[in-house]
Amino acid sequence: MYKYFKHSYLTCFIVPSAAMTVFLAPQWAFLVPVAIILINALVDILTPPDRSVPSYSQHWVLDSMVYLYVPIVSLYMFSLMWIVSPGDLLGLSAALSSLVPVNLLAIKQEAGLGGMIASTIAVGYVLSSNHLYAHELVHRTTDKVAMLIGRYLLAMTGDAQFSISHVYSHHRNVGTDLDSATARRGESVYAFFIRSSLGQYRESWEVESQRLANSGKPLLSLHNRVLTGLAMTAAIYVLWYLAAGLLGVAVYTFVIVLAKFLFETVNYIEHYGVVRVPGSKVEPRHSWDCDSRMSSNALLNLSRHADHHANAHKRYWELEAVDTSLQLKYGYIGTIVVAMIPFWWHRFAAPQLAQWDRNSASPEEKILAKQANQLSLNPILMRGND
Amino acid sequence: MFGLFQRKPKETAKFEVRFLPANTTLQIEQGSNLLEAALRHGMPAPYNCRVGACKTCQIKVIEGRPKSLMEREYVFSRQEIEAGTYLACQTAVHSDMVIAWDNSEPDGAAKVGARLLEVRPMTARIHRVRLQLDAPLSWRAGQFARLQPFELDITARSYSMIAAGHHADIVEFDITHYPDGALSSWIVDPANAGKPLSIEAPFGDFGLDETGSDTSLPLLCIAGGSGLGAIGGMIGTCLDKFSGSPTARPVVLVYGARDQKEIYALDELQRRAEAAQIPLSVNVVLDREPAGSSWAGRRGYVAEHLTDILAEAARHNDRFRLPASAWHVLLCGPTPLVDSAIATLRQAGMHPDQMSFDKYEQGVAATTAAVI
Repeated sequence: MYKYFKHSYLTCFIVPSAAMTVFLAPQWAFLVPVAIILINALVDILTPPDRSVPSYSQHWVLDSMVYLYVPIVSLYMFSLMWIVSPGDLLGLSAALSSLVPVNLLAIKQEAGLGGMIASTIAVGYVLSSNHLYAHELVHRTTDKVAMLIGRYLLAMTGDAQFSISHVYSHHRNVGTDLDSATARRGESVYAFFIRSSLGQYRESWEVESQRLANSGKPLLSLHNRVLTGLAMTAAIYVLWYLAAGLLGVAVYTFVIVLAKFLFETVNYIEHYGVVRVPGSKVEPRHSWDCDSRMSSNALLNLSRHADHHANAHKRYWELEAVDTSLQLKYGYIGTIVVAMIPFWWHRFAAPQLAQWDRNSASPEEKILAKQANQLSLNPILMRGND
Repeated sequence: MFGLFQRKPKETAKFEVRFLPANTTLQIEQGSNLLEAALRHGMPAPYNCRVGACKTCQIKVIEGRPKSLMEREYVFSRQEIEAGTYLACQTAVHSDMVIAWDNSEPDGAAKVGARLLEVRPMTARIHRVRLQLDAPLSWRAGQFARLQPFELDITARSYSMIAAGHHADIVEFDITHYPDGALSSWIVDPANAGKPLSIEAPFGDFGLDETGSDTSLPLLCIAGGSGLGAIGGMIGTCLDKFSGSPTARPVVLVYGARDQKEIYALDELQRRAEAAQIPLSVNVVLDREPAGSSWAGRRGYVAEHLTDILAEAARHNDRFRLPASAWHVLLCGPTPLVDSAIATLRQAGMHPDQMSFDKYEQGVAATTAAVI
C-alpha cells in the first residue's frame, strides 16, 4: 500500500508545508529550502538505496500525484503573490479570520521586507520542481490535457519551450554537440545555465519552425507553441502586476530565474561530460544515474535517468536504477550542492568520467572523449588522455 | 484498498499487420504500439529515441489506417506525410496494415513510353537529357532507368536519374557522350528531340537510405564525371528536404573530372546550399588537366586526396569533426574511381555498411548499382 504514496512527498507534504510557512511565518520561509536540502541529503546518505520497481495496478493513483501537484503549487505561488501584494489580496485574510483565529495580514505586516525576501527564496526554490512534474507530463505527447497542464507548469517558470526542446531535441541529440542541455566537460554549472537555457529556446524555435513549415502554418501566429508558451508566462506576469505592481514583476522574475537555475543544475548533473556519436543508439551509459532513496521517491524517479533516456516510453513508476559507471552517489539534492561549487564538482566528476572513457565508451566515443578532455582544460581529465 | 477499481480483463480486437520487405505477418492487438508489438514478437525493428524525434523507426504505411501518437509535422514534410510516412514508436495499430520498414519503393519497375524533350550540353562531353514520360513514375535520386530508342536496334542501356520523382512525368539524366556509343550518340543529338523511346524504371537501391540513420550525420559524396548528375540530385534532395534546419546533414562533395572544362553544376549546388543554410564543402580533383594551366586546385586521382579533404573539412567546420564511423558515403562514377575511393576510405576506418555506390562501366554504358 505504501508504494502508492512513495512518490507523493512533494504533492502531499513538502509543497503544502511550504505554502503554510509562507502564509503563517513568512520571515522563517528561508528555512524551507534549508529543511528540504537537509531532509533529502540526510535520507539519501543515511538510508540504503531504493532500487525497487513495484508493480502497480492502479496507475490513476500515481497519475493523480502528478496532477494534484498543479493546484497545490499554484496556491503556493499565490501565497507569495499575496505576501508581496500591498494589502489583503482578494480579501483572503479577512475571509480566513472569520473561520479560524488567525490574522494573516497582521503576520505579513509584522514580517515586513524580511518576510517578503525569505518567501521569495522559498517559492523560487520549490518551483524548480515544476520542471520535474511537467517533464513527466510533456512526455505524454498524445495526451492533450497532460501537455497543456505540463506546459502551464513550465510557463510558471518562464520555460514552456522545454516541452518542445526536451522531447524533440534533447532526447534525440543527448551527449552530442547538437544538444544544448548536455553539459560539456570542464564547463561550470553557471556557464551551462546560460548556454543551455538560451540554447533550448533556440532549439525549440527551430523545431517549431520546421513543424509549422511542414503543416503549412505561419511561423508568427498562435499556432507557434514557443510563442503561446511565452504568452502563458506573460499572462502570469500580468497577474503579478495586478496583484503587486512592479515589485510583483521583479519578485516573479527572481522566482523564475532561481527556479530555472536550480532545474538547469539538475540538467547539468544528468549528462555532464557524456559524449555520443550523433545517431548512435542512446544507451544507459549516456546518463548519470542515481539510486538514492529520497532522490528517486521525491523526484518521480528522475534520478533513474539512464533508463529514462534508453527507454523514454516508460512512465515514471516503471523506471529502473541502472549500474552505469557514472553514479551520483550523494543523491540529487546533495549533488546539486556539489555542482554549485565548481572546484568540488570537477574533483567529483572527472575521475568517474575518466573511468567511463576507459571502461564504458565505445571506440568512437573514446575519440570524442579525448577531444572533450583536451577542450575541458581540466587537469584530471587531460591526464586521462595520456 | 484500490482493489474495488480493479478492471476486468477486456477482449480486444486483433489486426493483421504485414511487414515488407520481410513479408512477415503479425497479429497485433488493437491500440498497441507498433514498435513495441514488433519488438515483442522478435522482429528486428530499428529504433532509438522512442519519443518520436530521431526517425530511426521510420516506416511507410502502404495499406491501413494507423493512428499517429504524435504530430507527424514535427519530423516529416508534407510530401512524406502524404506518402504515408510514420514513426513506428509513435504509431498505434487500429486496422489491418501493410507497412514497409525501409524507404524502398513498394512498386516495382514499370515500362512506359517517353519522348526526348530537351538536350542541354553541360560540358563538352556531358549532356543533361530530359524526357517526357507518357505515364508518371516514382523513383529515388540515384536509382537508374533503362532506355531504348525505338529507332535503334540495340538493347536497353542504363542511366542514373537525377533528383527524385514522385508520380512525375519528367525525368532527367546526365549522360556522357562516347562517340562510339550508340545510345549516348543518339540521345545527346538535339536533332532527335521529340522522338520516342521506351523507359523502364526504377531499378537499383543506390541512394541515401535514411531508414535507421540519423539525418544530422555528415555525408561524403564522391562523384566522377557524369556521376555528378545523380550525386548532385541526391544532395539537392537533401537540401530541399532539410532547408534551414541546423541539424541537416552537412555534405562534403568530391568531384573527380578530367580537366577544368568538365566542371559543371557545382556553382549551382553551392548556391542552393547557401540558400538552405546547409554546410557544403565542394572539392574538385582533376586528373588530365594540362601541366602549367591556370588550375591551382587538386590534381591526380580522387582517392589520393580523400584523407586530406576530410581533414580540411573538419578544420573548417565542427560539424565534420566526427569519427570515421559517423559518416555516410555515396559514390557514383567510373569503376576505377569508385573502387579506389572505397579502398582508401576503408583504410581510414570506414565500414562497408556506411557506403553505397553506383559504378559506371564506360563504353558499354552499363550501370551496376549496389549497396555493399
